[in-house]
Amino acid sequence: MKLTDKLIKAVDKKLERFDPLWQAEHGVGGLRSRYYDKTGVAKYREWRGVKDTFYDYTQWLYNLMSMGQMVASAPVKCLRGFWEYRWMGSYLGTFMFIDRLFEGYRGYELRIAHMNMHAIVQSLTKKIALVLANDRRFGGGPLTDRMVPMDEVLPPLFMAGFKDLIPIPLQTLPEFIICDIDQHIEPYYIDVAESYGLPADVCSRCAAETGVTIDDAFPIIGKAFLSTNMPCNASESTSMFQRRRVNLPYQPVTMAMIHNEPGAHPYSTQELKNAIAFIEKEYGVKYDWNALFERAKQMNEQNTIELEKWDFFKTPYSALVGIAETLYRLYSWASVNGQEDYFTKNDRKVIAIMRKAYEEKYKPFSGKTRHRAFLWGPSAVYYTDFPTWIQNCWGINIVLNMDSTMGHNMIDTSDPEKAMEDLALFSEKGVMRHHAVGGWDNVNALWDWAKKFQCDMVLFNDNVACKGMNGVHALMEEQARDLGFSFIFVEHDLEDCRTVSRRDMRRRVSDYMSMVLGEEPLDETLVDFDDSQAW
Amino acid sequence: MKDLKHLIYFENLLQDAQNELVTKAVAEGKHALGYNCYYIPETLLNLPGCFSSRLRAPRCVSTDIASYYMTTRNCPYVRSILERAIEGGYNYLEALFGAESCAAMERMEEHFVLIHPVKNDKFFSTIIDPPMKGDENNLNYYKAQLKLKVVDKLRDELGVDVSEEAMLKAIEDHNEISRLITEMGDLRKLENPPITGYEFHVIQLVSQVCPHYLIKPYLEETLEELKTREPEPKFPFRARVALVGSEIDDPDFTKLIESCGAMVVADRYCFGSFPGREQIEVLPGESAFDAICRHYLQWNQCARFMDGDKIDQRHNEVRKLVENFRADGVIYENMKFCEFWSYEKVLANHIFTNELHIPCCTIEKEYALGAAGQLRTRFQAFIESLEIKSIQGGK
Amino acid sequence: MKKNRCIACRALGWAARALGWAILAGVGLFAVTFTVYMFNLENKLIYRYIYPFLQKHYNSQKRDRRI
Repeated sequence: MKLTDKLIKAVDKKLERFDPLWQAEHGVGGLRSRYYDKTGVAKYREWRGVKDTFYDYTQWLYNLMSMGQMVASAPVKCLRGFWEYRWMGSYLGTFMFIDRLFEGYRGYELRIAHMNMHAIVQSLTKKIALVLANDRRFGGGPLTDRMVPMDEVLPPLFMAGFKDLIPIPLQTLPEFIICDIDQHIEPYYIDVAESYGLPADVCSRCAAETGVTIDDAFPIIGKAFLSTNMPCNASESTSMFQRRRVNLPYQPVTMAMIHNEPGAHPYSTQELKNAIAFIEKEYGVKYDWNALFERAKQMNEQNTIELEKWDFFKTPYSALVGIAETLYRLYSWASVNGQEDYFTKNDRKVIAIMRKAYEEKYKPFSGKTRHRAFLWGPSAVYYTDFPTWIQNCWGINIVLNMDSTMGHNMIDTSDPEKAMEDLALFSEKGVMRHHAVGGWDNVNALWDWAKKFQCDMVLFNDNVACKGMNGVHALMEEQARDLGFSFIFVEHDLEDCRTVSRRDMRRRVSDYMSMVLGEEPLDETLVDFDDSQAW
Repeated sequence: MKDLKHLIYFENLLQDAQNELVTKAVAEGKHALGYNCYYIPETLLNLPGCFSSRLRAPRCVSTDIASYYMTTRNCPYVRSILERAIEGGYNYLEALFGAESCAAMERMEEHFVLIHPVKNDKFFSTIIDPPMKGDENNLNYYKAQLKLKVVDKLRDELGVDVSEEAMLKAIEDHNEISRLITEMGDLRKLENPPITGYEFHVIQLVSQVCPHYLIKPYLEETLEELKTREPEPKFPFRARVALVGSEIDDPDFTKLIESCGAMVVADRYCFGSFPGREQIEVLPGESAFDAICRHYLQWNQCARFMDGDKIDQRHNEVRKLVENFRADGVIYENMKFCEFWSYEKVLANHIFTNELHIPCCTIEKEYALGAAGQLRTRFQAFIESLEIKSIQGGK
Repeated sequence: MKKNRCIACRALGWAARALGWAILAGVGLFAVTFTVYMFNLENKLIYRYIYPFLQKHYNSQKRDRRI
């Protein structure tokens, strides 16, 4: 052992009583002990040992620099953005958000988690700066007319053939991402929509989107708008409002809903072709197949790596776990979709670490995992750190999330016709769609996935307003019973923390773990606490 | 007004999905084909040897078992249909042709296969993926879905004749029924109509839930009766309204509105005659099947359509109804937990009130007519506002 | 030669001093940022002062609300 290692070990030993994992193990505190009650504000950051704390610190700095770069790239417009848009203010919660996500992470899992998170931060900050710098509300910019506002759940890869245009998932900044960071932001927009008569029982994500629309809180960019029917009914309906408010030439790209049938794909393929023709007409540009193929290669590489990651997920030695997996896949697939090289490079680095960890038979969370769970159904975005909590409190490792299984087919990179067909299939299986929409077989596939990934437990995200998933409630419960899985419905209201709070969600799990399975928590401080005023 | 000769008979036919005419047709060897949504063309289910049965769950007071399957947080219409199926109310059906018109509908229809509630050995079910736009690509998809999941299934599973001649015959049948209903419905345009909204609702419903060949003689007779029926000496309502919304298959709902003082002069909802009772025209060079598909896509005004033309169409059609039927206002209904109509009613309320300046009232209801007191209060207030507006000369 | 050596010495001295300052600045920067990091100061500042200030501003905004 090197001298520095010896020294670090000695310091770690000396300071171990500050480590919340040690505290929990010895019954003298835990991960929740360092928080001010209710707020989610920590008195001090987590002591993870010298190496991991220092690594966490460097990553904090790294993310801070990305944010600094964002402001520096368009200082006036960024500040105006903060002043104009309520959702911009919520981005200030990013650091607290990252801290929350990776509580209890150490070693390889911490490294990969931060690599993935930084990929998101650097991409998102650039996107925010780009959009604000070209927002017509602030006088526009040189790229305003080259931007194409698109529905966030329409996978933008097919737009890569327009090499001079910039597809911007319109709802991503004001809604899709920020709701993960600040649980109190979307209720404001939901209330706006409901004040116009929208019932409270519709999907809160779509209600929030509608609220953003009515509240005039979208950046104003582009010359034409692409909406979509994905993933589900309420999302389709929000387009009616966006069409009016965005007030640009408008084309809904409606992918097949029952998408597991051969007849669906030619239809969806033609829809994509029509969307391309629409953009060509509205922007006066020509589609470049080679530009598409170039980006498709990136997406293919990312998907190839993703499939390799799945092989590691099937073992106890995966260093990519929980929310670090879920959030990254969601962002890199839905928002980036092969369009940024950074993500391919990051994937290469991550898979290298995963291979190394596997060879070393490295078990994440110090091997404290007791259950392997598959997370099915759309997750509560106001409780993004739920997978972290459930591991730290009950030792349930969420091995894979339903949404991570979206479009992983390869795209042809030589034949335009074949590429479009592949893209149609790829897009049909977008966010919240691959398994939540399209018929019973898609939902019922859950059990095969859970078996394949060696899971003994299934956590079923039960969005109280999701009519599609509500419609299979009893069937899923019966299936779980017949197939012998531990099964928990985790009720939530997607973007409205007032209906089912984070605390309610935790209670649901804790009740099951203690009463049904008769288990003791790993960390007593996490079983029941109030974080209602946290972001 | 003098009571309509067959009104009580019609009302009785609506008390059960399997009414006496359905039972008679089944006994005569006709194939009973169920459907829930306008996206499944009624015409295709009335090919020779078949009859369509639009599914209702009359007098459904509890959905306990269906709620176990689909939770209480789901559309009460679909839960009621599932409940009725589990109770054995649709055992006469040989097939259910479903449409993924909305997630709740699709899940309910899936239960018809997964838990086998219909005790009929011949029973089978398919679900089409219905289009969301009115363009050519969507029309082609619609045709392909209907061919694969309705026409081919009828031919292969039940041996139904799906030839061009058979299709033309089905169109003829559709046009004949539609002509009768439209003629009756058009009477509502008169200043003092010889038919009430409630009566028309009952008549329209029987035309959807009974075998056409058995109900037609009654409809013909009723039409003749209406032609000579003396209306009340003075228009007995304080206002005229168009009723717009989703699955309104309970005539008592119309009765409730009318009891508050407004005649329902136009019925633009899923079980209504707009759309549904328009004539199908076969264009030169067009096959009968293509004409049916084109007709149903063109007239469909479902709130799930996303393209601008279809969104505008559904508001324009309501505006036209208001004009043609001289309605003073519009009532927009949505079924509780219905995503599409929840949004549509917000948008429509804005368009009618603020852009078209047509008074609009929006309400949310359960499938079974509960909370009638609350609804009555809403309707009375709305009708009063219409009356005041009328007194003030439309200002 | 002597003069040249003096210049070299002086340059070396400047470089050493610059390096010293840089190290000192680095250490100082590290001390400041690590303190901010460890005691979660930026989040406390944002949570207690900046966010509430912005919320107050947002709540007083007149937005062009319409369908």
